[in-house]
Amino acid sequence: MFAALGAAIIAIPLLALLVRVPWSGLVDAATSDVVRDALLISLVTSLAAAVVSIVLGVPLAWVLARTDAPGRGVLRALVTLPMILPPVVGGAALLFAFGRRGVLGEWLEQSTGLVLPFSIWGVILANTFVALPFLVITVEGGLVAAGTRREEAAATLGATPWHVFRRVTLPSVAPAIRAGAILAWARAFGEFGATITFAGNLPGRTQTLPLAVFVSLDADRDAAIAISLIMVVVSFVILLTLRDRWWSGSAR
Amino acid sequence: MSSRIGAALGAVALVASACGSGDSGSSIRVAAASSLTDVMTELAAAYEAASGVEVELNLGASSALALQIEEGAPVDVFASADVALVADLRERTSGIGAPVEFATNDLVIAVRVDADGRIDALDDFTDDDLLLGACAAQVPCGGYAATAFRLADIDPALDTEETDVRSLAAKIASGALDGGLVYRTDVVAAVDSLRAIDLPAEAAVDAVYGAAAVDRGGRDTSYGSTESGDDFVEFLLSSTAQEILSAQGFGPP
Repeated sequence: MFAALGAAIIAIPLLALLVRVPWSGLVDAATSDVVRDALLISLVTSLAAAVVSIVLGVPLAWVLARTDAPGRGVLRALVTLPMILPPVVGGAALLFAFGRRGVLGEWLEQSTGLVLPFSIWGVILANTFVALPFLVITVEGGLVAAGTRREEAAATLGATPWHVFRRVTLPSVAPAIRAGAILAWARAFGEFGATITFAGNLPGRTQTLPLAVFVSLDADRDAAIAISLIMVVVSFVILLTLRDRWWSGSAR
Repeated sequence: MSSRIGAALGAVALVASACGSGDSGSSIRVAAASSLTDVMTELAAAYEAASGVEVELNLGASSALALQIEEGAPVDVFASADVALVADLRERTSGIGAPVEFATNDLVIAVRVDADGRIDALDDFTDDDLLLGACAAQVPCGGYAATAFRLADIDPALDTEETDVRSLAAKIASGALDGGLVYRTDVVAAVDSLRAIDLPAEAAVDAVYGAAAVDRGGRDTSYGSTESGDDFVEFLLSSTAQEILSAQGFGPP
């Protein structure tokens, strides 16, 4: 009974969306320039955020799982904070840090001429901010589950720490990294609040699919529903096809 | 166990109903354009003092509010930054009263008070090196901005199209943007941080604000508010309301 209610809370709004889909004009709406640009920007920035999350998140997860550095509890809470924080708060915080009058942004502009807000780099940064925690906690869970026995054995046999990390640790948490990367990508793909606050909204430059939905919902409802449908289908298909093959790997 | 869940749900329902209805009973809900944020708070207080009817405000981009109302949001008055939007909504949706023009506004270039003077005319909006903003074309201030650029024959190098005018003004005030097109009243409301530069005469656009009473039926049972919005719409044209509007920089209808 409660299970059915739980499923219904999620399923009913999505079905209501389907009911409103303008099937006849769908192709036109879905292939318009605005939608094509937004889809491209969304794919590029969400994939970039997933890659950055892997590069930065795996070492971070390793520090959390394998070292006894002081303040790990605080670090873990800090790193997972963007999962609960309203994204708009994250976007404002990014603006205070990397905006042109921000603590780092001013220095960045003077020394390199790079301005992050209102650029695609800003979208990637905002996406990474919200996506990174998903990778970190997934990989940390994988590291804890994998244990340290094989790493210790390799070290006893004379392997250097870097060699142990590359040849023993990484392969053992590969499923967790894949699962974490998918979660991070999915979170970045749907990101809205931090992006619009930090990177603004300009079609063809920083307007991702969620922003395009929000902007066109008022004026061009059919386009908004068409984009929403694209997002639902893309996300659902990816979760559906990857779930069994990849996610279960990390659970074991 | 299930009784405990029931008790918890009951508590939630109790809190929800307490939030939904005002204590005194008589209240109206007003959905108002975000450019009206400050002045509508004052207008609501004046109306409450005069009528004893509590006013709940729902502030947002006029176009977003129109969508909410079309989808059945329980409001009694819709005050839009573009009277045409109210008229459009009235054609599509039942229960919308005749729109009443209650104020005017105009677009200006907003820059920070400490701006270095790199922006002093609408022509500067073609400068790629500046970070410039306007509203998205879907919201009234964006429609007005597009008109201004068209009248001045300028193809602007915008860096962002914001979804409501107040977030645009906030980004200029914080220095994230060098400048943008906002309403004159947005600069008045942030006079400590923003300065206005007038548009050239050929690009001047008049924003005409319109309000209408909304009655989607079912006010007594599910609305949460109790009174009709007709009185409030009438109040907007009263001398009291017009003085408040004028003090905030709005022009007469």
